[in-house]
Amino acid sequence: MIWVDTIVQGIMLGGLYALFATGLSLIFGIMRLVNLAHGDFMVLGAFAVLVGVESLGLGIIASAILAGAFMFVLGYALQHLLLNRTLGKDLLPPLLVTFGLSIIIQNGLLEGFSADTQRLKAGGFEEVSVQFGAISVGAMPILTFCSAVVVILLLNWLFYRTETGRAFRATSDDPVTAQLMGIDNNRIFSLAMALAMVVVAIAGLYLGARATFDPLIGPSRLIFAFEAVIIGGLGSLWGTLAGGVVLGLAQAIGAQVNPEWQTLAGHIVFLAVLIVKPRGLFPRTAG
Amino acid sequence: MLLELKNLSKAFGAVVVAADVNLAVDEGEALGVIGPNGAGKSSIFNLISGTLAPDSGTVQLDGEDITREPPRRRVLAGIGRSHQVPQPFEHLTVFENTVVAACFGSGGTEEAVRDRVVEILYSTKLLPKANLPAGALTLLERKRLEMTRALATGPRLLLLDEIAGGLTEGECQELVATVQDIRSQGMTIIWIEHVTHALLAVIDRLVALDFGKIIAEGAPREVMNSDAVQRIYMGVD
Amino acid sequence: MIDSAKYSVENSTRASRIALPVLALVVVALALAPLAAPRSVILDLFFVLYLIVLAQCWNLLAGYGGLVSVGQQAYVGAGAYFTYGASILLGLDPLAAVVVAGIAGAALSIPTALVVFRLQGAYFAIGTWVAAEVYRLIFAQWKDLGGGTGTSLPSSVAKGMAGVSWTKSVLDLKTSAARDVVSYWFILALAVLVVGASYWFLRSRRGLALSAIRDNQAAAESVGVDVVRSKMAVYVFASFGAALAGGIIFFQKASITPDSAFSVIEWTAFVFFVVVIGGIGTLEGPIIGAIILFALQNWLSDYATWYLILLGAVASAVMLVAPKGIWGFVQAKYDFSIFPTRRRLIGPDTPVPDYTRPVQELATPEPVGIRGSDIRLEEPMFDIETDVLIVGSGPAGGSAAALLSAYGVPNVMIEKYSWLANTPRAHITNQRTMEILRELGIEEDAIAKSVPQELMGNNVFCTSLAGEEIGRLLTWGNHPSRRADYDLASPCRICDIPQTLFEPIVVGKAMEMGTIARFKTEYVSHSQDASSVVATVRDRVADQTYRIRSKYMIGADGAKSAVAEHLGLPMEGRMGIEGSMNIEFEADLSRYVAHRPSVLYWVFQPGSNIGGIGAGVIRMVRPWSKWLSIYGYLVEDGPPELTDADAERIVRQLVGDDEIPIKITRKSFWTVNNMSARRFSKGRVFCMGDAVHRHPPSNGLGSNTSVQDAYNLSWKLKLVLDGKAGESLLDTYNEERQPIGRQIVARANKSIDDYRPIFETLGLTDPGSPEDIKRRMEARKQPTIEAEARRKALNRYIRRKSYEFNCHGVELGQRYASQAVIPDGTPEPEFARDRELYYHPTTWPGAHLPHVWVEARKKKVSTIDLAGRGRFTLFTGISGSGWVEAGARAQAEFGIEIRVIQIGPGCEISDTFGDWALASEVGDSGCVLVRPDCHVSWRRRELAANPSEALAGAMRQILAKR
Repeated sequence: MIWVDTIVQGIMLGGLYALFATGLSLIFGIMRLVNLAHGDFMVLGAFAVLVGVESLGLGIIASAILAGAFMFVLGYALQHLLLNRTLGKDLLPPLLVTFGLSIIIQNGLLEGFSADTQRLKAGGFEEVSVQFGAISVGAMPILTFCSAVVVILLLNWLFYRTETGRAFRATSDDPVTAQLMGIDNNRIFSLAMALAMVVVAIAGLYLGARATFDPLIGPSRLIFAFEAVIIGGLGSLWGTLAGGVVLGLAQAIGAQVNPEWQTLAGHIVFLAVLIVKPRGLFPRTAG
Repeated sequence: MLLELKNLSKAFGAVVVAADVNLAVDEGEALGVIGPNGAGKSSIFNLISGTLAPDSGTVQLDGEDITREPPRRRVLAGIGRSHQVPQPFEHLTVFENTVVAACFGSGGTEEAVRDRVVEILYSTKLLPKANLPAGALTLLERKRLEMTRALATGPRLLLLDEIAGGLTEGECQELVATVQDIRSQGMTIIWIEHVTHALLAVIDRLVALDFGKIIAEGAPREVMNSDAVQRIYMGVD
Repeated sequence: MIDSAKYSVENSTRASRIALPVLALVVVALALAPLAAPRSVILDLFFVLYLIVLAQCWNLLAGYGGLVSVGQQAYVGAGAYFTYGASILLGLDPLAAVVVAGIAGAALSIPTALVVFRLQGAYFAIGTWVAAEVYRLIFAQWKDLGGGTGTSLPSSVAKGMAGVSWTKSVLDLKTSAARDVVSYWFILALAVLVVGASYWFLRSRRGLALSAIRDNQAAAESVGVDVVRSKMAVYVFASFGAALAGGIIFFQKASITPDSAFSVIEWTAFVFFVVVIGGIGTLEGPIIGAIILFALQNWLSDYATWYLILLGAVASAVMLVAPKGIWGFVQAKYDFSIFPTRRRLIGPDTPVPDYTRPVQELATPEPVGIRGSDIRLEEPMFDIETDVLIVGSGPAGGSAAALLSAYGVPNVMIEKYSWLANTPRAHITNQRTMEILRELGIEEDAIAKSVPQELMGNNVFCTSLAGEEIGRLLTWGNHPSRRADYDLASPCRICDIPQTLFEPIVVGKAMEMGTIARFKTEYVSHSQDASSVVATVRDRVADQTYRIRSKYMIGADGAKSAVAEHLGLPMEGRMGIEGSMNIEFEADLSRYVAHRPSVLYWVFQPGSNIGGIGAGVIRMVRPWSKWLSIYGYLVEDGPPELTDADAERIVRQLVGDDEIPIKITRKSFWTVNNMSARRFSKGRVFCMGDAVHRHPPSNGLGSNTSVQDAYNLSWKLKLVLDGKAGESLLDTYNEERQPIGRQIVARANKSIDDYRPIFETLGLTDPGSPEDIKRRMEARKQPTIEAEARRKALNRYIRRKSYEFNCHGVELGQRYASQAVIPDGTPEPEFARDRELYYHPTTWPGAHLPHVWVEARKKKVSTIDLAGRGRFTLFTGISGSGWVEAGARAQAEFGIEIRVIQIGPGCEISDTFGDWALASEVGDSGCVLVRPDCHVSWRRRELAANPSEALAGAMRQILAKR
C-alpha cells in the first residue's frame, strides 16, 4: 500500500515537475535558448501571486491571473530588450546573461521580501484530499497534474493549429527562411518568451501552493526542470511530461527509502538515463 | 591499390547517397568525380574520411580495412580532405591553422613541422596571408586554406571537394597548376568538381555519379561524351 | 621553391618581453609581502590569488576549450572535503593533504566527465551543475566530517603542519596568523603554477589544438585532433586546479559546510564575473578581473545583495556590449599581450597585419545561429560555366547560338520567356539570311514554312483593300529586271517567314547542335574582368538567382536591351519617334488579294498617315487568312485605349469592307525608333540585333541584320576561344558592323519619310471633311494639266518606294573595313548603278564573296556553298597551285582550317559558265581569301613571289597574331 501511495505521489509530483519543465522546453525548442534563471523566474512568479494575495487582497485565482499577465509582459520585454541580443552562434552570452539574471532576481527578491520562507494559501484547498479506494491523494497535487496536462494540450493546440503556432514552428525549424517569408524572428521570440513566462507563472503558482518557497530556491527547481526535460527527451512536450513523472517517481521512491535521499535519487536516475539513453526516453528531434 | 571501396552503401531513409559503390584508386592516380547536385559525391568523401559510417560495404586503405576506424585515425593513416564549404579555425591565423593540421594530422612538434608548413603555404599561395586570422579570408582564400590544411596532414590520398567553384579563369589555371604540382610529387588524388575543364586538365580517370551510383567510369573524354553523362547534364535543371 | 630556413616563428612581443620580467618581480614582491604587510592585506591578497587560480582554470575550460561549466564548485568542494578528510582522519600534513585532495578531485573528474560530456552546449552547463549538486548531496552524507552541518578544522592540525612553526618564528606570528601566511604562500605558488602551466600549455601544440577545437570542433577532428582527449585533459586539469584551490581555501577558513564548500555563488558566479569582465579567452583577463572584483567587493561589501545584483548586471552588460572583456578590448586596440600565444610567421613575403585594426570578419556562408535580425544573402543555386553566354533567343541570339554550336563552341542561351517569338514580327528573310540558314542546314526547313518570292511582290498602294488602287509596285525582286538581279546575286531566294516560325527552326537547330537553352531565365546583371564574364540570372521557375560564368557574353536581348544598358553603350538617335499599333486578325481576304498576291498592302486614307510607319499597312502573315495590320497613333498622346471593337473598326477601315467576318486575335503597341549604338561591345560583352540598332520594320532589314551580326561575330569568337586568333580580332566586330547598323537605321527611317509625298500628292494631308478629301483624291483623275502633273508625281513617288522594297544594294552589299580586311591597293570599284537599289558583286576586300554557279562532280554548287562553314577558303585558278601549298603551310602554322579551292577545267570544281573567271576579278594564278563569314578579306591578282609568306602575312594580320 505504501508503495502504491508512493507511486501515486511520485506521479503527481511529476506533474509539478512537468509544469516546471514545460517553459524551459518551450524556449529551448523555439530559440535554442537555455534560461539559467528559469527557476528564479518561477520563484518570481510565486512572489507575484503572493503580492496579489497579500498586498492587493485579491483571491488566489485573481492574483494568479494578474501574475500571469505581469509575467507575460515581463517575458516579452526581457526577450525584446535583452535576450534577443544574446542569440547567435556563441553559447556563452545567453548562458552568462541568464546566469546574471538569476543572481539579480535572487538578490532582488531577497532585498524585497527578505529570506523568510513563504507560502501561498489557497483557502484551505491544500488540505483537501480525495479518496481513491484505499489511497488518498491530495487535491492540490491532482490539480497540479491536471493543470500540467491542460497546459501541454493548450500549447500543442497553439503550435499545431494556429497561425502563431505555425510561425513558432517555422522560426524554430528554419529561422532564415521564416524571415524571408516575412516572419519577424525577433517578434516571434519575444512572443514565445512571453508565453513561456505565463507557463512559468502557472508553475510558480503551484510551486508556492504546494510547498514553501523563498528567494533562493530557484536554482534547485531549475535543476529539476532540466532533469525532467533531459529524461523525457527533447522535442515533445508529452515527452517532458513523461520525464517529469519519471523524476517525480524517482524522488518519491527515494524519499520513501530515506527522506534525505529524495533529490539525490532524482539526480541518480537522471545520470543513469544520461549514461544509458543520452537522448532521453522519448526523444523526437535532434534538439 | 591505395584505396578500395567495396560494395559501399549508405542511405538516409529514402535518400540513397551511395548505392553499392565499387571503386579502386591506384597509388599516384588522379581520379575525377562528377555528378549533379545530390548525386552523393560529398557523401562518398564522407565515407572515405570516416565522418559517415556506411550501412554496408568496406573501405580499404592500402589493403587494410579501415571501415570501422574513426576519422582521426584515418587522417593519421594518410587520408587528407578538403571540405566543400570551408571550415577554417576562424580565430587562428592561417599559419596556425596549418600548423594544427600538420602537428596532429601527421605528427610532430611545432618546430619539426615548421619548414613543411612554410613550403605548403608557399605552394598554395597563402604565404602572404600567413599571419591573417582565418576569419578575415575571402571565400576563395578559405578554399585554398582547406586544401592547405589537407596537405599539411601529410596525406597519401588527397580528397578535394569542389575547390574550383567561384574562381576566375586565371585563378582556376593557378589552381590547376598547384594540383598538378601536388600530383607530380606522387600524391594520389580524388577530385570532385563541377568546373569540368579544370578537372580534365589533371585527372587520368573520371567517374560519374548519379543518385549514389557510378554511371560511367573511364577515360575522361569518353566519360564526358558518354550518353549517360550527357543525359544527366543536359537534363539537369 | 622556397628557402624555408629564412622563416621563423615568433611568439613573444616587445611588450611581453618587458612585461614578463616585470611580472616576475611582482611575484617576488608578493612572496615577500608577509614580511611587511598586515594580516588583513595578506588575506585580501589570498582572496585575489585564489580567485585568479579558480578563474584561470575556468578560463582554460570555457574560454579556450569551449566547455562552459557551471559546476566547478564540485571540485572546490571535493578538494576541500578531501583535504579535511586527509588531514583530520588520516593525519596527513595539511599541505600534503591539499595535494592529495587535488589529485583525488582530479580523479573524480574523470568519471564525471564521461557522464556530462554526453551533453552539449547549454545542457552541458546545467549537467555540470547537477553533478555539483550530486557531489554536495553525497559529501553531505559524510558523517565523520559533520554531515550536513559541517565541521571545523582542529587547531592542532594547523599547529603541527610544516612551515607554520618556521613562519611563526621568522615572522613572529601567532599560529592562526602563521597558518594564514603559509596558506598565502601556497596559493601564491599555486597561482604562479596555474598561470605558468596555462601559458606553457597554450604555447604548446596541444594548446593550439584546444583553440582549434573551440573554433570548429568538427574541422579539428578532421585534421587529426583527438577532440575527446583534449577536452578531457582540459577538464581534468581545471578540476585539479579547482580542487587544490578548494583545499587551501578551506584550510585557511578552518571550517566547512556542504553549502559553503559547494556554493555556486562563491566558486562559480564570482569566477564567471571575474573571467567575463576581465576578458575571457585571454590569460591576462582573469588576473585583471580578479583585481576588479576584489575592488568592487571591498567597496560594496556592506551591501551584500546589491553587490551581487550589480555584479550580475555588470557581467551581463559586458557580455552583451564588450564580450571580449577589458583585456580583450586592450588587446584588440593595442595588440598588447603579457602572455602572447599567437604564433607569427616571420620571413620574406609574410607580412604581419596590424592586429589592432578591426579585421573585417567575413561570415561563413552557413548560417548557424538564429540571431533575430540576421539576413542571409541569397546563396547562388549553382554556377554554370560555358564559353559563351547568349542573352536572348531572337534572330540574333538564336543565330549566334546555332553558329557557335556548329563551330563547336560551348554556349548557353538564356531567354526570359518560356518560348520563342509569339508574334509574327519580322518576316522578310533576305538572301543573305537564307545563305546562313543554308550553311546551317536548315534552309529547306525554312523554305517549307515560308511564303515564296512570287507571292510577296505585288506591293499595292490603295485607299483600302476593297477600295481604289492608287498604284502598284513589283517588289522583292518580282519585277523581271529585278528578278534577274536577285537570281544572280545568290543561290538562295528571298522569302517571307514570320518570326514565330523562323525562331523555332534556328533555335531548334542550335539546341540540336549543343546549345544549352534555358528558358524562363532572365538576365539580371553582369560583371566582367580580364578573363571572364559572370552574369547573374534569375530562374523564374524556381525563383532563384544563380550565376553563369563565361568567357564571353552576347547581349541579344532586343530593343530594350538590359545588357546594352548595363554596358553603358553610347547610343545615338532617339527612341519613340512615332507610335504604332499592331492588330493581328483572321479573315479570308483572298478576294481582295489573290489576284495581286503580296506580303504588304499600303493603305492611304485620311488618318492612316498619322504616326506609325507612314501609312496604314495590311501585312500578310499566312496567305490569305492571317493578317497583321499596322496603324499609327501620335506618340506624344501615348497608346490609346484599344478595345477589340476599336481594333476591328480600324481593320475594317483599312480593308474597306464592313461585312466580311473578321476576328481580332491580338493587339500590341510599339514605337518607331531611330537609334543605334556607337559601339557594339565593351570588353568581353558583345551586343547585336535590336539591342544595338533600333528602327522601324521598313525595308525588312531588322532580323536580317541581326542574323548577320551573329554571323560576323561567331567565327571570330571561335578562333579567339581556340587560341588561334588574338583578342583584337573581336574588335573588328565593332568596326565592321557598327556602320551597317547605323546605315540601316537611317535607311529604314528614311523609308517612312518617303510616304509623305504620296499623301500630299493625293491631297490627304490637307485639312477638310471626308468629302473634301474624296474630292481632292478624285481630282487627279481629271484631264487637266494640274491633274496630269499630279499623276506624274504620284507615279514618281510610288516608284521611289523601290528604295524600301527593292533595296538590293542595302540588303546584300555590305562591305567591311577593318583589321580583318586587307586592302589590296585598288580603289573601290565604281557603282555603275544606284548602290542602294542595286547589288554590285565584287571581290574587293571587304565585300561579300560573289555568288557564281560552279560545278563539283556534276552537281551545281555555288561559290558561297564552298565558303563559310567556320573555315577560311582560298579560291584560285589552275595556275595558282602555289597557293595550295601556301594554304597547307598556313593551315599548319596557324592551326586553323584553310581550304584551298582551285577552280578550272579538270579541277574538282569547274567554272561551268566561265562566270567565276569574271567574278573573281583576279587572274587565274591569283587568289581570293574568304573569311568564315563569306566576306573577302584578302586577294592577290597573281601568284606572289612567295605565296606562303604572302598568305601567312595576311593570316597573321587577320588573326591579329603579331
